[in-house]
Amino acid sequence: MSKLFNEAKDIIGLERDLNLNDYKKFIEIQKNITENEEDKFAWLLEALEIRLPEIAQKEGNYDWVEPDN
Amino acid sequence: MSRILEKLADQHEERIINVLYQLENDVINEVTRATKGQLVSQRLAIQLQPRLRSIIESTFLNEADLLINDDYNKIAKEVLDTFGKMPIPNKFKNLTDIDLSTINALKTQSFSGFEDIAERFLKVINDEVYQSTIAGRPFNDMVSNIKSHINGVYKSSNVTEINELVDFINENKFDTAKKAQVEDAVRKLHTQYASDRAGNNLRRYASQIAHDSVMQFHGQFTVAKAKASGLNHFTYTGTLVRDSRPFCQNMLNRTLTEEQIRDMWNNRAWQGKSTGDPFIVRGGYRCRHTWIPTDPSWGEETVDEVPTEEEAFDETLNVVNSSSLTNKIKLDDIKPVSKTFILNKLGKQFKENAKDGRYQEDSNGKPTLRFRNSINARAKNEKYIGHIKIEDSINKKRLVNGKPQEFKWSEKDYGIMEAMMQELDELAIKYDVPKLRGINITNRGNVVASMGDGVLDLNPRYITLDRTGEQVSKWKMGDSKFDRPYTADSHFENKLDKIRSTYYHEFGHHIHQNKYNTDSRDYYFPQLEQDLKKVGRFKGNSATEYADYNKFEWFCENFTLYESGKTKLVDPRFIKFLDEKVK
Repeated sequence: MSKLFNEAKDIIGLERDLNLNDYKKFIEIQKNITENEEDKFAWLLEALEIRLPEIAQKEGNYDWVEPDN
Repeated sequence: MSRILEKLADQHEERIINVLYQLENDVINEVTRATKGQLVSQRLAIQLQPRLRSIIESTFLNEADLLINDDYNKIAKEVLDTFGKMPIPNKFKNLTDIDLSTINALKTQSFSGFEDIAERFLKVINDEVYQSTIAGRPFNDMVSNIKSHINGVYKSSNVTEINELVDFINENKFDTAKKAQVEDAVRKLHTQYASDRAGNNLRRYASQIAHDSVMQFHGQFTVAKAKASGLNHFTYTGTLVRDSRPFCQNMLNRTLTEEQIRDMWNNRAWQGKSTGDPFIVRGGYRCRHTWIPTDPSWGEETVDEVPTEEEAFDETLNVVNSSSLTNKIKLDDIKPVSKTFILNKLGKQFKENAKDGRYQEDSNGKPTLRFRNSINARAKNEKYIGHIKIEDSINKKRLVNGKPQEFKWSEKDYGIMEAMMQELDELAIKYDVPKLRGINITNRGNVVASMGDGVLDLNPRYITLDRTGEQVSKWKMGDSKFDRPYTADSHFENKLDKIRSTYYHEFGHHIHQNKYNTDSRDYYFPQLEQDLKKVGRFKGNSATEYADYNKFEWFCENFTLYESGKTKLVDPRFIKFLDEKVK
């Protein structure tokens, strides 16, 4: 696994509730993930999707979600 | 259709049927009186014509006039009551002078429908009498034919059993509790006594027009009021009966714009469709449905998609790919099904599943939502809960032969979907959580799958037969954790089991999101998720790497292996958690 991949993995593994900064960081990592890690990264996206409500509860909405992610 | 409307339509049909017996009796009496039961002469046949017209006017048309003038005001009131409940300005809720003029015009139009049919059958009866004189037809044969022209196989008879059958049918035709017996009687009447049947008869058309006139009057007045009120969205409402047209079954409870409805009407054909305006003739002859105006801004309805033409032909009630937790379907047994089939079938199931009381609602009776896809769909007035949407996927970043790579669902994939939903429904019962209430597969991003608010999302880049590999891991408990496969699908040999593992994984999320939810607070802070957060030292003991990423994924990966019978690969801590907190 690349360093970037592991950073994304660490974000979805955080024990505390996720926040907007975590999300932004994750999305930045996603932009730089190489094609050979894309399929495994799709599962990290699944884990993130499940945890998005943690951020929405703090932000009060989902307006911060970037399209197509 | 409202109960009042339904009752009126049935009552009118019944009253018209009854008056046709009086008509039959009066016509036969008059013909008998004039001819003294002898062969009719041509002169007498012509002399009888004005008298027969008078009989039709005093019976059939008189009854039609009474029905329209007595009861159509009740239909208008029903329409006004419907508008009275809508959040529209009061001026649109009351009866205006324009409404009164519309009502009178519609009543006249309805009556002309009865006049047309009376005129048509008067000619049929006159012809019967006149042709009898030319053909030298015996008097009794002529009488029998006239009766058949009026009441068909339901004509009065000298045979006691026929009369008993006819009486039974007429008395119980509208009693749903006796529907089966009535159908038996009708079948017997047609099969055993149909030798004297004379094709189409007045009863058939008259009872239909009595029914349809009520519905059409309601439809016309409703659409006139809707236009006056500025409403241009309509919901197809009513109840389904056993012989409801596939068009009606498919359209029921859909909300469309006037433009969508008219466009569909102009470009579609279906069995039983009649000519006319879509808001007036609706599904066709004897249709029991109505278009009721609405406005999506009221928040009660969202605008639906127009169903595909294939959807008008319902084929969904069969189970093509049967599967259960104890007898899971095998890959070789998967039969392809069409996209239309799966959309219709699961769409109906999800609509029902969405009514489960364990899904929380807010104070306005709307579903409590937590996840972004459902919240976004609501913001855009798109159907999501109780709905299924399946799209193929395109990866614009990957080019194949110069074009973006496409990922398409096959009919076998839809067959798998049919089978998997049966297994997931069983899991819902087993783990005492509500059944899933939607599938939403849209072409968005690279996420492999997701679950939220009882709606499953799957990505055809990963969850299709075409895109599923066959690599199998030999890893077993005790082997190095660094050699573990990435996800649970690697522990399965065939493609179906690999795909099944993703369905089960996502259902695991559904369990921790919904188990023990009894109010909205539970929904936002599920009890099982609170319990999961307290689980310690979960990393390194599972059979997949992904299970180590967080506790939700630990739960789902182990749940998948557990429910797939791979218990030797399940983290013992998971089984303990399951026993203590879930079962």
